[in-house]
Amino acid sequence: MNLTLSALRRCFEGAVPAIIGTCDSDGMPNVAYLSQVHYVDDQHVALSFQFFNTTRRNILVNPAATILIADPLTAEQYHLHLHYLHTISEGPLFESMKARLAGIASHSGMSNVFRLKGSDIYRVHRIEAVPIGMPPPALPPEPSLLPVLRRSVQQLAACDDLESLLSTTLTCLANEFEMHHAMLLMFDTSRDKLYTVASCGYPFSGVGSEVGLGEGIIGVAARERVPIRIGHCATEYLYGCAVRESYLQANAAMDIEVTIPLPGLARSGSQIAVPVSHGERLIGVLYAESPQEMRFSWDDEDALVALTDYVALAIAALEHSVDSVPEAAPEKPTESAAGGKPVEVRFYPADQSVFVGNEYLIKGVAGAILWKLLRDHVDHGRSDFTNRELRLDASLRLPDVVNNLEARLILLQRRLAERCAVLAIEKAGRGRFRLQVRRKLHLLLGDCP
Amino acid sequence: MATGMELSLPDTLHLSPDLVDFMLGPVSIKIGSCSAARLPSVAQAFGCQIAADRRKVCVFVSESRCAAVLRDLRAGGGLAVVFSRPQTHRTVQLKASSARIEPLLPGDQALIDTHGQRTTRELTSLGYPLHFAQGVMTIGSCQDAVRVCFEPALAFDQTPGAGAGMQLEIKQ
Repeated sequence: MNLTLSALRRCFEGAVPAIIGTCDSDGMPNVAYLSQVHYVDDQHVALSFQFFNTTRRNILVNPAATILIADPLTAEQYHLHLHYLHTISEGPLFESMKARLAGIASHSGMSNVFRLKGSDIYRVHRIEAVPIGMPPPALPPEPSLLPVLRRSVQQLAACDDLESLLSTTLTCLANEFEMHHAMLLMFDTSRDKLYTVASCGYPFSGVGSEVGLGEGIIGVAARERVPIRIGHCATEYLYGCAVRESYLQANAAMDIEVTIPLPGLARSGSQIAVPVSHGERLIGVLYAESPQEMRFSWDDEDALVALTDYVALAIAALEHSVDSVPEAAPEKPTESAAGGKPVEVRFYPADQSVFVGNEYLIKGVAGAILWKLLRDHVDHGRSDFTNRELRLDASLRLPDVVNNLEARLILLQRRLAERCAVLAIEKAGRGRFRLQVRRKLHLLLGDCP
Repeated sequence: MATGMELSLPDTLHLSPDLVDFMLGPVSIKIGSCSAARLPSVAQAFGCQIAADRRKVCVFVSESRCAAVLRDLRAGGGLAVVFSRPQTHRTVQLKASSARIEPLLPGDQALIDTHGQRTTRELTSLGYPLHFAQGVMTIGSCQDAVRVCFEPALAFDQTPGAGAGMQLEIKQ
């Protein structure tokens, strides 16, 4: 049987350190441990370059290398005969390896020692199985993810709006993939940030929380447009810490309370972040985590990439159909039924943040949308709105991508449901929604939050 | 044998007692060589024996699992042997310009067995499943085993960190 690299992907999970043999121009061999062997494709692997050591010197003068890898389940070993091609020190592959190395380093107490200088790309000439010392254990067959993917896609295909698509995605992750802690973040192109629109498996939803490009595993996966999977979690990639740190550095003088905390497991063992992309366009990131180490396999990554590709296509199709929704008939102004002591709602144009009473509710585009709805309600007695009129409203400074509005409305609706007893948004048919106001409002413009 | 691979290395090292203790402990042992065409070979070894004068080391390998390395050594290739303790990551590499392949001696199989058991315990204590630890630490058929004997000429610290790659100062 011809061995292929893809059949050996389990050996590249980092559970068992690999060994590399090289030799110098005089023929003196050198043997060294490798932190990471990364599967690139069926002809190439990338090895982590962390130190300028003898291995490095050798491959620069003699590009031949042989590595010994082991299957973490069966203990079967393989020789890969390699030829060094070149080194890369930026881009998706490098960042993915860097994130994984940080996890491996953290797991082995080497956080201060391991730092990825580059990803050395090798062509694989030949693969040989090492004769076994004892028969491998009979492993139970791994359940196939194909039926799981098929059922999930069938459920997603039945969704006819963004909200059901997002919630069904998370339901499928939990029920079909048995990934019970997950979140979906959408990309805000105008601010280079991702914001959480849906989550599951956390004590609080974190809807509205934000991650910058390059921050933590989610931000790196988004910036590099590459799935990142970590079997042992590294402190520097714990997105919550990374985001909070970065926020504090950038906004030392500002009040931290105007941010919404990201949800997340306190002790995450494994993490996977998969970009949701449609062609060149980044739509968002699907993120899942588990308290269990090495929870997500290569097959899980493959399945989630296929799933998110479908989600991206579905989102793009929904955006197209949203444009064909007919304009609503003009609504007659109605007297607000809300009464009682007025509640103060304050809007800060600088960051478009909205505070209800003294409590922070939302900022950014979602904040601007809410402020427009509230002004129309107070000034003109309106309660019913169409998505289309918001999309056409220049004052909202909506990015030109349609789904941003739908996603923002979902975010706003969920944030109101979670944090505001006075206001609510409910759907009122396709492309329409209704603002519910349960108290009299006193709208105020603020200077700075 | 004229191989074009005659390597010029310093005189034999006198290994320190501390290094000997480390090498005889629960360590993973990997060996490597190089062909005349400068193609490297690597394989796993299953324990070692160190002469009383601490100048000669023999590691145990399987003929079938270590075929390429043995072929290169028989052709006169140099030798590199790495000893690494999984629990501490302490790693040392020894090098020699050549090695001799010898049949096992009485008592060697017991050394192989002891090494396998010790290292299996070390791996399971670190969370590796027992069947995996046994799988990687079992040499297989003892009829297949040989000893690779050499006089180390160079020793390097390869423990990850600032000192990685430093030549070891061997205390006499």
